[in-house]
Order: sequence, then structure tokens, then C-alpha cells
Amino acid sequence: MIQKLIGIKFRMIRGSMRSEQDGKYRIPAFTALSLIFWVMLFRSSLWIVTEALTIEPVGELLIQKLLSIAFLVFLGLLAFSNIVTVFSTFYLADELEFLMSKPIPKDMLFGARYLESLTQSSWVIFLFGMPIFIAAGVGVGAGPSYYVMLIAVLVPFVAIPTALATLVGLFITNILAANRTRDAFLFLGVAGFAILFTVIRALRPERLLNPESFASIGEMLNLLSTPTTSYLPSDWAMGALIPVLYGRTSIDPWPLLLLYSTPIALYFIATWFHRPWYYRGYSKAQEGRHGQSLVTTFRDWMLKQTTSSIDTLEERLGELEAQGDHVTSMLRQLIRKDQKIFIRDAAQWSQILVVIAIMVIYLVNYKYFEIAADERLLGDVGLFFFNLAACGFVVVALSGRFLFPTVSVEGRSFWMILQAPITLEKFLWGKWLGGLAPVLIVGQALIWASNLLVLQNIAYCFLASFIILIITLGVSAMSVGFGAVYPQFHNPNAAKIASSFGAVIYMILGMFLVLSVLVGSFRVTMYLGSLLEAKTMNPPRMANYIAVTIAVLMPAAAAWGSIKLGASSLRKRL
Amino acid sequence: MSESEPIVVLDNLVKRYGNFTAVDHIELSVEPGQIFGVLGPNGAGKTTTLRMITGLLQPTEGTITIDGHRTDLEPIEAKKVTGFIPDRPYVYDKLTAFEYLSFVGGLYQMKSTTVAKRIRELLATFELAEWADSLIESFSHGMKQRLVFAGALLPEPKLLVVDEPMVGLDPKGHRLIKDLFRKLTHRDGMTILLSTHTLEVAEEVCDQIAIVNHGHIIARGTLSELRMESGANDGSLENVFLRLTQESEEERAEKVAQRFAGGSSPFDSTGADGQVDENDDDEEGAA
Repeated sequence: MIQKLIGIKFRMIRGSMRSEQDGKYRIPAFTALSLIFWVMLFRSSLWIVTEALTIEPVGELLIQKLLSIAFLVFLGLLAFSNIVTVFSTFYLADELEFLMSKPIPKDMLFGARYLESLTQSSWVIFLFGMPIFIAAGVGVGAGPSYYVMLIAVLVPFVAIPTALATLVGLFITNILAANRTRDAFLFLGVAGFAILFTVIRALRPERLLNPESFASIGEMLNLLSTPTTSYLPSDWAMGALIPVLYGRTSIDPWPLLLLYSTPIALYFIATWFHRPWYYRGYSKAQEGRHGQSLVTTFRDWMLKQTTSSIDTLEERLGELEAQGDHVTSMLRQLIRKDQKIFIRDAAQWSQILVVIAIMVIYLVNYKYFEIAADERLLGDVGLFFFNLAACGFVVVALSGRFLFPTVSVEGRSFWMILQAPITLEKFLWGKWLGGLAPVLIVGQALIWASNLLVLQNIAYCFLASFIILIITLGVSAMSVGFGAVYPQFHNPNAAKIASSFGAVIYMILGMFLVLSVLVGSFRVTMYLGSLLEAKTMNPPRMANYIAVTIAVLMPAAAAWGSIKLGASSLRKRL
Repeated sequence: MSESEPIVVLDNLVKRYGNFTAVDHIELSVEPGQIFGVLGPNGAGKTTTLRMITGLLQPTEGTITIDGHRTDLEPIEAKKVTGFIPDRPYVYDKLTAFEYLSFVGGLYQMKSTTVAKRIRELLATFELAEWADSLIESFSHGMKQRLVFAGALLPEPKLLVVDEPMVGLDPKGHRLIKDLFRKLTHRDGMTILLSTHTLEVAEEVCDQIAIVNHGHIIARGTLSELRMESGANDGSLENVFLRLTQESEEERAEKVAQRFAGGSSPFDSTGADGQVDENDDDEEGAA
């Protein structure tokens, strides 16, 4: 039965691959881009490992610590994505109505849903975590047993958060009143981020990059050799991997035993608990779609604030009449509509909290990086461009989260746009303009705040601000365009759309764009900065000017091309 | 464009999904001021045809001309004069009825005074005035359907395309829509192109009827002309419909197979009125 339930999903994936609507080049394009990204990630990880090994006498310990941080970050991400995924696959998915009406044994349904959640929430980490771990193996010169162990460790490692998330989901939907489930998930999301942030901050990873920041070698060794916490699967994974990585002969079987026994035990416990409680939770979750919760109370308040302050319909119509022959521009109408829908959609609010969390984490970490950045490792110039790249990536991620799904969230109402006298290009530009402001504000706030915190050089602040501005304009339009190339009109969950296949392609291309702009503008930015600072520096050559021109024009070209591509892709779907 | 010229002209219209032919070389012209009904069994190609006319689907072959504007060459001009009411009223749930109608006015670039006047009229006609400031998500199916009607009529289109107008409406709603259709065509000169399974509606309001099966128009004319053609001289539209669309299992299987093979040539077999006289299955699609 489980095979059948999972099999149908595979057939659906195969069907979508065959779909002419989705384009023949979808899979090859994704594979090629993923490979390039994979190689880049591998090479940069390898560079870090090689550099770390040269720091005597703590190189090996340093790698160990960096790997444990990587595992910890992945664990945090898995915990967060699993909770989101489990709630949707177990309680809110459209096909549940169909499945619940069929005579499917409870354990089988649980098993199938579990595997689906596991795959959905883990594949990205499985795919993009691998280059980091493989780079550690290559850098250290580990034998084949390391790579076998890596697979053996990753499988149970990703299975644990899924099993835990199913229990959390079951608990929340059963214990809390139906209309409080959304609040609980909102809270869990924020709490998850807070915990992850606290744990990582407590580790102060930036100190690891600068051994001189430690008072003594003893202090450093002490920090490096203490496990993060022995109760977390990330440490068990490390316990199993590290001896094989360094080719030690004495291998402790405990970590591996814990890694395998935990998900198996959790799976059976979860199955057992789901037997009596799942149906109740499912049923309550359906009620929760309509119930009055803190979220819906707040939404009603927002509705009052966002509808006109005029009370009666007649007064509202009177106001419209008073505008006479005025015609509101189509773009403004589209933007107003999108903004109203966004503000009133309670599902989006937890994401706004995530944005605030990202900003705080970014600025706090950046301040710490200043301490870590000595001349040997980064230097002022390195820190300036590192900050630009990091801020660019945040802009890419934010656009991916907020602008990529905007075409898809039109959902079944999209017929209105297709049927209206408006070109699809104009519709997409409207989407871009509507979602641009928050990304632009966050991008500028981050770059100004971080540069003022550290650089305190106003000339470089302006240059950085301009670079982030053109990057923001480019990647935000790219995210709208790619959202139109890979729309999911039947997916009601914007967060899931933002982590879909098309979104990953957009993210990779967005990161390429950020890096290309930075590489192209590097020399001239440095020169302009020195001029503004009244320092002397050799003027750039013609090639540098050509590179900076390309760097400035590239986001514009990417924006225009993506919107065109998106519109033509939507037309092909008709 | 003069009044006597057809407002809708379908020329050799074809829609294929892969190797499946949903609409197979349809030729049709609709005179202005008429209520033109498109009938047919499930999967005959009605919805696909209407969706191509409204711009929701692109034809694989052939052309559509609306009020003198080719939809492939002047899509915006053609859409400006067309209103569409789909069978399922999917609208922006997080907007209020008033905001939705204002948004439609904006999409059609109407003047603010006209938008206000039309909203006032339409909210009254469809008995939605007291719900104007409620979120659409709180509306029943019937209320949503009425709101979609209001939205489609707001820009006073010359052509109104309606797919299954009666789905989700109560008997009072049925009466309202039938009276409205008559008023719109007789008083305002609007042309209505509607597909329906409710034969009683077609019988009551349609000036002309086309029966579609397996992607072809198999018959068209007034109800009395269809009666003559079918041989059911004094029968109801239901009898006429059943006679015209009846076929054996073998015939049906053969025609479905033909549709999957990529459709027939328009010159294969031609019916009495110069229309292709073939039959077949499926449709839906679109975003």
C-alpha cells in the first residue's frame, strides 16, 4: 500500500517531466545549473578545508568544528522545513480529502505521508550539503570508507527531524483548540529560529577563522574539542564521521547506533500515536481553516485598516465619482491588489518575522565578522565585498521568498488576468513593482547598517548602496520572471512554492548574477572608493571599465530577459 | 465594424493537446445582438472553444476575430470588448466585493465616474450591495458567481462569453440570469455566447444553437431548424440533442481514437451546413 501511495507521487513527477507545458529543457537546465552550483560550493568548501589545515596545530580540530556547525545548521533547517512540510502533507494537502475517504490502513497512510514529508523537506539539504562534506573528505585525504559512512550517516540524520515533526504536528493539532494551530506554528517557526540563532551565536564561529582572537592556544583547543551538545543528532553524526575522516582505527559504535535507533524508534512511536489521534487532529485542522484565532483576529483588524476609512458604500462610491474622468493606471491597480492580498493573507506574516530575524542575525554576525577579519584572512577590501555578496544573497533569498511565488498565488483566479485587456509583460512588471519596495528597503537597510557599523567610510557606503540597488532591481525581476516560468497555480502554500524546483533554479541564477556583478565591478569600485577617500591608486584599465559597464548592465538585461521569458512561458501554457 | 457583420468569427479553429485534438477545425460566426448557445456532451470541446475565444487558451491553428479584431494580432483590442464568466467563480478571496469590482474597472481602464456608476447598478442588480465590504472568501458559491457576473458586465462588453452560467445558482438566480440575458441582448445590443448543459435555459433564451461533439460542430441553427435536422419535429431540445449526439459504442471508440491520432482533415467529411461532421472527446486545461 505504501508503495502504491508513494508510487502515485512518482508517477505524478514523471508526468510533470513529460508535460509539454513545463518545457522540455526543464530537467536538463536544472541538472546543469545544479552541477555548476554544486561544483562552486565544493571548490569553496575545499578551499576553506585546505586553508584550515594549514593553521597549526589546530587544523584538524578546526575542520571538525566547522563540520559540526554545518551539521547543526542543517539540523536547524531540517527542523524548520519539516514542521512546515508535515503540517501541509499531513493536515492541509488537497489530496487528503480523497485519501481520507478511501479504505487505507492508518499505518500505511502514515508511512506514505512520512516518506513524502521526508523527501520534500530533505532533498535540498541532501543535495547541497553533500559538496561540503565531500570537500572535507577530499581536503583531508580520507579513504573510501568516509564516503560510505557519509551516506550511512545522512540518511538517518534527515529522518529524525521528520519523525519528530510528525509528533509535534500531532500534538499541536490535538492538544490546542483547532483555531490555535496556526498561531502555534507561527510561534514554533519563530522559536526555532531563535534557538538556532542562540546556539550558533554561542559557538561564535567567526573566532575560528581568526586564531589570534583567542587568549591562548589552550583556550582555542578547549573550544574546538568540546562537542556542541551530545544530545543532538548533529553530534552523533560527527561522532560517526570524524574517526573515519581521519582514518582512526578505534571506532565508537555508539553514535551510529544512536543515529539509527532514534529515527526507527521515533517512527514506530509516531505510528503508534497516529493510530488513535491522527484522525482527530486532521479533523480539527480542517476546522482551524475557518476558526477565529489570534491570527484571524489580527487579520480582521488589518482588513479594517486596509479598507477605506469611509464608512458606507455610498460614500465610497461618492469618493470614486469625485475623481471624475480620472483613470487609475493599470499597473497601480495591479500593485494595490497584490499589496492588499499580501497584507490580508495570514500565512505570509510568519515570513515577515523571518525577515526581521534574518536582518538581526545578519547585522549581529557581521559585527562579529569585523573582529574575525584580520588582514591575512579577509582584510578591509575582502570584508567589504564579502558583505556585498552576503547582502546580495539575502536579497536573492528574500526575492525568492516574496516575489517568486507572486505569479503562482494568483492561483485559480489567474483567468481574470488572461482574459483582461492587459499584456502578460505588463502584468509581470506590475508584480515586480508591487513586491520591489520591501526587498529594496531590506537590502538598503542591511548594506547601510552593516557598512556604517564596520567601515564607517561614507564613500564606500554609497558605492555599496548603488551596487546593492542594481542587484536588487535585477534579481527581484528575475524572481518574478522565473516564478512565471515555473508557476504552481494549484499550490496554495507560498512558502512551499518558494522552495520548489523553479525557485532553486532562480536562486542559483540569482547568486551567479550577484557574483558576476561583484567580480565585474571590483576594480572600478576600489578605484572610485580611493578617489572619494582622496587616496592614490592606479587608474583602472579599459578592460576594467568594460567589465564594470557589463556589471551594471547585466542586472537590467537579466530583469528584462526574465520578464520576457516569464511572459512567453505563460503564453506557451495557454 | 458595421452592425450587420458578425461579432465573432471562428475560422478553421483547432486546439490540440499533444496528439489529442480537442477542437477540430471549427468554423463559426455569431451575429451581433444574439444569444448563441453552444451545447454538447461532456468533453465535446465547448469549454476549450470558449476559452480560446476569451484568450485563456491559444489556438493551435486557425483564427478568431472579435468585433473585427483578430485575437492573435490585436489581443488587447479583442479583450477590451469581451467579458467572460467561467463555470467556477474563482476570484481573489482576500479582496472585498467593492475592491474586486474597482480592480476590474482598473483593468479595463474605465473612468472613475463610470466605475462608480456601474458598481452601484451591478451591486443592486445582483443583490450584493450589503456585502460590498465583506471579503469574498466569506461568500457562498452563488454569491461568488453573481459577483463574477457583475465583474464581467462592469466594462459593458459587446460580447459576453459565459461557460455554464447556472452552476451554483438557486432557482431565483436562474430566473435573474435568464431575464438579464434577454435584457442585455434586446435592450443593450450585447451578444452572448454561452455553453450550457441546462437545456431548458438554452431552449428558453437562445436565438441560435450550435451542437458540438468530438471537437466538431455537428449542427447549428434555431431550435426549429435543429428539430427539422434531427427529425424530432415537435420534440424538446433534449430530444433533439440526444438524437443528434447519439452514437454506438463502436462509433464513439473510433472517433475518440481519431481525435487521439491528431484529428481529421477539414476536408474529410462535411456536414449539411458546410460544417465538419465529425465527432469526439475531452478538454479542460488552462491555468
